[in-house]
Amino acid sequence: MSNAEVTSLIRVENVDTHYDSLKVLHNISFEVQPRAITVIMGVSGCGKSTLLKLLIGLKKPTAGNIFIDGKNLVNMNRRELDAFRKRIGVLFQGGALFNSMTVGENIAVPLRVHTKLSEETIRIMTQLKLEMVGLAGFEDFMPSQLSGGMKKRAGLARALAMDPEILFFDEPSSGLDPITSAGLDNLILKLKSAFGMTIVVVTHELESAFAIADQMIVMDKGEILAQGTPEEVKKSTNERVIQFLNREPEEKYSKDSQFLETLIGKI
Amino acid sequence: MKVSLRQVNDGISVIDLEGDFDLYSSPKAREILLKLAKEKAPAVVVNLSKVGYMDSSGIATLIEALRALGKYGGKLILAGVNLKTMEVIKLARLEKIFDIKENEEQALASTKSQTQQV
Repeated sequence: MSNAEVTSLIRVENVDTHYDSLKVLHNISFEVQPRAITVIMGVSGCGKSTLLKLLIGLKKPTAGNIFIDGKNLVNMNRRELDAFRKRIGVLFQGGALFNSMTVGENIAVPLRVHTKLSEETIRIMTQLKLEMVGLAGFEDFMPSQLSGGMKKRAGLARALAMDPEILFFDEPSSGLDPITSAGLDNLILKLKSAFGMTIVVVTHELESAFAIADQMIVMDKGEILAQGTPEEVKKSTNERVIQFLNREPEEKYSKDSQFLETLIGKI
Repeated sequence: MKVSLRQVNDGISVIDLEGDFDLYSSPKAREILLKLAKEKAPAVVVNLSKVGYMDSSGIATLIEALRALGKYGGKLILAGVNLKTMEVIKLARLEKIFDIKENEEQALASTKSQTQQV
């Protein structure tokens, strides 16, 4: 086992991942510092959401290691994985609420399952979390009665239910209007400051990324192109990073001959 | 978290909390706070000066105690709130709801002045 740095909370080492024979992550290595916000950026399909699945233990890499507090997530048994998952909160893209439960019940679920807190304490905590995400008074609503943005905020309230040590966000700003999105960025910063949370955000929203990041990772085609502080990433000389940061449109997908090959086979 | 209870003059109770006030320790603090409310303690000072970390279960416990004491006119006073804990209280927008004093001495003095006013 490699020695994981004590200063990093998460250390990803030489990770490869495949979907069947398709390699989607190539030799990924980086560290996540505790009580900091790490933003993983890249265009759609660059592998960042797959990387998030690896970090929360939903998928195993085909090669490499992921250390959490020095313990390899890749080798964890079910009991160790359960213990790890109690320490984390995840906001999935669509909110991932249970549709048969009210918003309040959705938030209370992890507290009821994993703690011995009284129902009254859980009820107050649920109200606090809804207030934090701007949904005070919506505890008795069903998810189907909420807009997309509200579902996302309710999903965040549930991710926050257990006051997690590490909070993962998958595209937090997508589907939100600019004002709600800015409010969410502000909340992410406050969570880091007040609770000392370690936060990992996967996004392609540049404005949001630069507003919150302590550390950035820029990915493309399953590889890390640049990583460092926002200032360091801005100074990257990598053409693809410059293109991404400057929002330059993609080059034509392929040469005409390659395109024709995909349609009718080798010419 | 270590939770200890002291009785000072005029029936005022002081709860000293030491360590992390979180999901796993807040039930212990809740039990003592609600017991004092049941006994209709006139004022309870919660000394948070040795709390390193407080999560939302800690906040929820304090809110429940505030309500339980308030039902019969009892007072809940928070003392020794450090900057981190204050940030958590502010994040929940509760800084104006709680009676917060810099230290235990000031908290106890405030209970006396409240009694004199009555």
